[in-house]
Order: sequence, then C-alpha cells, then structure tokens
Amino acid sequence: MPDRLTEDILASLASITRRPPDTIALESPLQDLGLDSLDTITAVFELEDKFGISIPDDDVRSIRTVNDVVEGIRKLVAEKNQA
Amino acid sequence: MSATRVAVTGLGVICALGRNREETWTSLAAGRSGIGPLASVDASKLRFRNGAEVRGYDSNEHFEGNKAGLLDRFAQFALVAAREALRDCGIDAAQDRCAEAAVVTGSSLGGQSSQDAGFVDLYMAGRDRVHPLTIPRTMANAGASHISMEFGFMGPALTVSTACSSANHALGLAFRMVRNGEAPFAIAGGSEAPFSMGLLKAWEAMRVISPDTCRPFCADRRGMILGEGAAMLALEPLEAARARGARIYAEVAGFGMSSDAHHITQPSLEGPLRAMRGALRDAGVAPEQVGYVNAHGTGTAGNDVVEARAIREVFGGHAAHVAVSSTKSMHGHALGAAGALEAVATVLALRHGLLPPTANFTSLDPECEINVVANQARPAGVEYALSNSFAFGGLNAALLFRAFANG
Repeated sequence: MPDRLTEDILASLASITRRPPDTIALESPLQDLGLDSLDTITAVFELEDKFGISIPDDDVRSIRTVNDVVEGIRKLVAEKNQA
Repeated sequence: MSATRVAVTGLGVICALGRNREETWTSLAAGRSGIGPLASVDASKLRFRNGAEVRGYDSNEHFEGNKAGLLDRFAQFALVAAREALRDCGIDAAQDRCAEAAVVTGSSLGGQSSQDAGFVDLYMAGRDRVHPLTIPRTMANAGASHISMEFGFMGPALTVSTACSSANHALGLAFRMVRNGEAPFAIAGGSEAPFSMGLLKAWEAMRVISPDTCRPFCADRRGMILGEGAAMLALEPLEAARARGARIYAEVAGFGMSSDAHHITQPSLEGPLRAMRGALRDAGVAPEQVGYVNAHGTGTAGNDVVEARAIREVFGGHAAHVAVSSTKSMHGHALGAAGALEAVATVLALRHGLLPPTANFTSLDPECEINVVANQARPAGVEYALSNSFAFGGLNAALLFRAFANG
C-alpha cells in the first residue's frame, strides 16, 4: 500500500495528466506519462504549493521517474518538519 | 546586374563587458566574463544570484534634463548604442540619404521594468495611479522611435519581438531593406533590460537559470545567465560606403529564418538547421566556406545538444573545422538584444582574425560534439561566420557575415 504522501503525489500527477491514479506506477518515467519539460515544472510548482516546500532546480533536472518525485519530496518534507 | 552588397560600417554596444565597442571587444578578446553578483535587485529573494549587468551606468552622462525620465532603461541602452554606431560609421545624419534611413530594433520585453514599477505602486504601495509616462516608457518600439527622432530618420522604422531571436530578425530585415534598395542606410540591432523582480521571478519559475555561471556546451552546465544591454549596427550598400571612404568592418552576406512549428519551449533539430542553411543559400555560400559559428549557446540542457547536432548536420564532414563559441558565457543572455551583441562579436572577430571564446569552459558534453573555442580566443583567418539565434516559440534566425578585405 502506498503511504499518504505517495497517494497525494499520485493524485496530483493523475490530475495533471488526466489519467486514473491507479494507472500511474512509481517506476514510470514522467515522459511516458506524457509530461514534457513544461508539464514537469508546472507539476513541481503545484506540488511545492501543496507541501509547502521549495525544490531546487538541480533536483528538478534530475527527475526521471514518478518515484524520483516521491522520494525527493519525502526528503524535503522531512527536512521541513525537523526545522 | 549584380546584387547589392551590404556593409557594416558602424558598431555601437553597451553590455556587461563594456560601455562601448572598444571596452566590449577588449573583454571578448580576453575571454573575460561580465557575469557577477546581481546588484540592481535584491537577489536574496531569488534562487539564482548572478547576472550580466551593465555596471557603472549613469543615465545623466547620456541624457540631459528630463530626457532620461521619458526612457526606460532598455530604450536608453538602444539610444546609447545607436549614437555610438552613428559616430563610428562617420555618416552625417543630417545629409540627404539619411532622411529615408531605416531603424529596426529587437526587444523581447520592451520597458518591462517601468511596468513592474507601476505594478509595485498599484499593488504594494497602495497607490491608485501609475506614472503618466508608463505607456511611452513601456512600449517595445520606444527604442526605435527615439533613435528615429534623435537622428531624423524617416524611412521604415519598426521593432521586432521574437523573444531571444528579436535582434537577429531585426538585423536580417534591415539587411534585406538595404540590399533591396528600400533604405539607403539602416541602424539595426536590439536592446533589453530584464532586471526587475517580477521578470526575474518569471525566469526563476522556468527553472533554466544557472545558480552559478553560464557554461555553454559543457557536461556540467546548469543553465543560462541573464544579461542586459544593447548593440546597434550601421548598414549601408558596400558601394556607398566605399564611395565615401568609410571603414568597412564586414559584410552581411546572408540571412535565414524558420519556425520549428513544434513546441513552445523545446527546440527542434529541423528549425535551427533550416535557418542556418537558409542563410548560406541566401548568400550562395557552401558550408565548407564557413570558419566560425557564434552559437545561440544558452547553456541550457535543451538548447546546447540540439544546436550542436544541427551544426554537425549543416557542416557534415567540415564540422570539425568550424570553430564554435557562445559569447553568452561572457555577456549573458540579453534576450532581445542577444543577437545584436553576438553580431558585434562576430563582426569584430572577422575583422581582427580572432575568435572570442566560450568562457567558464570545463569539459565538453559528449552529446555536443563540436569544435568549441574554449576559454581563450583563437587566432583564425575566417572568411564567413554564422551567428545563430533560436527563440522560445521555435522562431529561428541566422545571420551570415563575411570578412571584408578591402577587395
């Protein structure tokens, strides 16, 4: 079972890509979901707002899969909660 | 009847590398970058810290009385560069053939900092009005209009706005006007002043600005660095320039443009390829005759790989012999002025037989297999040189220059 954070991210990506959340696998490359570079920065922009975090440019550039997004955000949320 | 040849007889420039042609060329030839910590905005509110700003600029040195107040920074730069180009070419603006002279400027943003200041007044300072000169300061054609007024140029005058290709399109159109006999003389180039918080935040959101510096074609490049400034070129028929004994820097030999018709920000291979080939075809020049390309070379992930591929495809087996550099590594990406700054760099490279380098160069990205002039200017006698501009929106413009050997 995916945890809450994963579910939230999958729901966001599902809404941006207009596809059912259960069709998005963690190992899916974002490109395969039909997200180009502009869609990706738009998705990241929405996720930053949702989780109250700021994702560095270099991290965004290195995103390849859905799991990269989930783990990147998990790390930043943990850092935020510790601060 | 042979076609009219078009000469570049005057250059004017103000940018992070210098406040005139000579200072700018000295920096270009030395491979000295003008990129540094942003001084005109509070960079602590931004994800990036650096820019290529015009330093030590005082509008009072250039404009008397209230004149500066009528001009946004981008229009001031346009006038400063146009004045230098006019002085440099030695033409008397009051003489007859100047009445029909053309003025073609490029600007992506116009006077956006004046608009930004108006928004700060309205939405932050709680005022219910903006400065009455906001419209004349903001309009993108302000540079062209003020140049036309100051020198009494009454021929075709217009501003081209095609994002990062604006100045190349402007120069290409002016070149054709002179070649076709529509204008006996032209001042053309571009100007831009992008350093306001609102605009910088918009670039930050695009995630294409480097947190440190600009390293075009390098494996460890992290994006572009914004720049500001203006450059203007004086263009006239070669025969007219010769007849008056003018100094001829170089010729504009060809111009090619194309649209990707592909994606609003991601470049295609075909579009840049067709623009470069178009410039060569326009001049009747074979790829093997070209020795230097001043690349669009933004230092972004997207541009550099595609541009390098396009260059390899245009030049084929000759590609290894074509020196390529991106002077954006020194003067930054001045958006609608970029092509004009790079035209000046290319023209002076031909004149001096010295190719300005890509500064900040570390190691070549294996996906960008081109012959990069790295960090140090390279002496080379080149006859033809291309200068590329490829804009967001997929609008491409390539200029071809030819060295002038008093022949």
